[in-house]
Amino acid sequence: MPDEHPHDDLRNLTVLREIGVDLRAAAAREDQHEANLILRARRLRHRRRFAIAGFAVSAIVAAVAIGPGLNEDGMPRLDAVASARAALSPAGDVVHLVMSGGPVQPDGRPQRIAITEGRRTVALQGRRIEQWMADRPQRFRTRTSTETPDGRPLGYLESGQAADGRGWELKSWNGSLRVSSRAAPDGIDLTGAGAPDAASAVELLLREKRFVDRGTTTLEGRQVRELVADHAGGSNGQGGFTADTRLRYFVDEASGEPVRIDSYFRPPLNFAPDVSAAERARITSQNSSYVLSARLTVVRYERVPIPQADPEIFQVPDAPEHGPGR
Amino acid sequence: MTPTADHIASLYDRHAPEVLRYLARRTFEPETAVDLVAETFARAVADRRRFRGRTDEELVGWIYAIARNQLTDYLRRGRVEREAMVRLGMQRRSLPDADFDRIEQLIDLQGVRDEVAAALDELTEPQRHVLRLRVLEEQSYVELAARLGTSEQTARARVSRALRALRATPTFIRLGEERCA
Repeated sequence: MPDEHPHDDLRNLTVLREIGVDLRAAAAREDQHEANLILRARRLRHRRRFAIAGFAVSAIVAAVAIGPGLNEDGMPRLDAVASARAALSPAGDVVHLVMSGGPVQPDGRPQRIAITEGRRTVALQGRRIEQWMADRPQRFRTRTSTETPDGRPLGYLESGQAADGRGWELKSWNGSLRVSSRAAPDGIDLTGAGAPDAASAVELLLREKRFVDRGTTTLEGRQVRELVADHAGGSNGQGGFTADTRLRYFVDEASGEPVRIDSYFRPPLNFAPDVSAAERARITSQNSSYVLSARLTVVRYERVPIPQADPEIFQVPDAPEHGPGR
Repeated sequence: MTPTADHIASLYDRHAPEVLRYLARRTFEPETAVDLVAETFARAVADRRRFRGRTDEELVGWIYAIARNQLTDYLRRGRVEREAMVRLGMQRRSLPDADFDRIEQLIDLQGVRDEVAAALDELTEPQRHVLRLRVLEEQSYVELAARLGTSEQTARARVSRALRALRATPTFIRLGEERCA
């Protein structure tokens, strides 16, 4: 039977265009994630060097945070970036965060991230993330709630780094515990799929002094300071490119304590296959607008002095019994 | 070579309409065909490390192979698996009425109906009757057996023989050859 309708007609279908937008956004997250895996090793080396000088740097950070300076009215001026850095830097304490939220679709709906084994989806990333961080030596533990594919509570996915540098990943629902001699990777995935890493990413960018203070604003009735850091994308060296990303970090105006983390990225535009990766990156950077990709609201923040903290928090855990998580 | 996810996404705009045509004319269901297109390209992105070819032509061929596998799975299971879409965080898109009509035009459902009607004319009246009850009126085999005054097993056998006869009609054979061309 002859086809009376050339394929070009079908390009105008709304549904195909919408799927194309979704697919390009998903592809960008995939390529970004892959590029991050390569970068993480480099970041890890950097982090270890940093840990050696951790004490001195913490002391400097604290000094900067309390050194106010003067504004144009001659009044003491709060250095919001320094305060934020001090709040998130362990500096001898355990920083404990509980966050709610995660990746979102371009239209604002929550985006569910699948946890797979082979080609099978075994769980979905939940919307509650709990994180503990300490330094000297560098340690962390991140626990993300998980759900069954049909949305029932399942347990949690945990990753961490112990004092001896070993890393681990634990799946509570099946008792799977993977321990590696290398530390768990540092988190710099800002595009959504790695939302649990967002606090680590913020801490890293604060250390690298990449945040700019955008001034005071109101967030759900609370006076906050808005700090913004941009992370330029580019060719990933594999024929593709990573998108530009932006973090908006809201902190309490008075204390610098974390309030909310929003991450954005520039969705890739539509290109012919023969356009080079560098050219795609350049044109996307110039013409694509930032789109929200993840939002995490901090529901609990506390600093616990090391002697009072649970000594097992940063130890490699024992594999739990199979079944729903604790 | 391992294609980047971005590269596969860039092939989507050029090839998705062809893949949609391929799937729509084999499923006869616009919504199913659209779901299969989305899952096909999502799977290509998610499984891109499995690609063993070197050229874009081979990559497009690989995407069609995924589409064929998706179609086979759908025909066997009666539902579209959305594993890769879930893995990538993609949500199912609803099909606007205008798109539905456009894809129906593409499938040429009226043409299919005419062809099937012509094929039915080539059957005997008892064969047409049993297919009408089972396929059009969607009667269960228990109901069918009661209507025919036979056992359930006999009713199943009659439907099976009528379907086999339908597939063997010259019109149906020609229709199948054209649609698979």
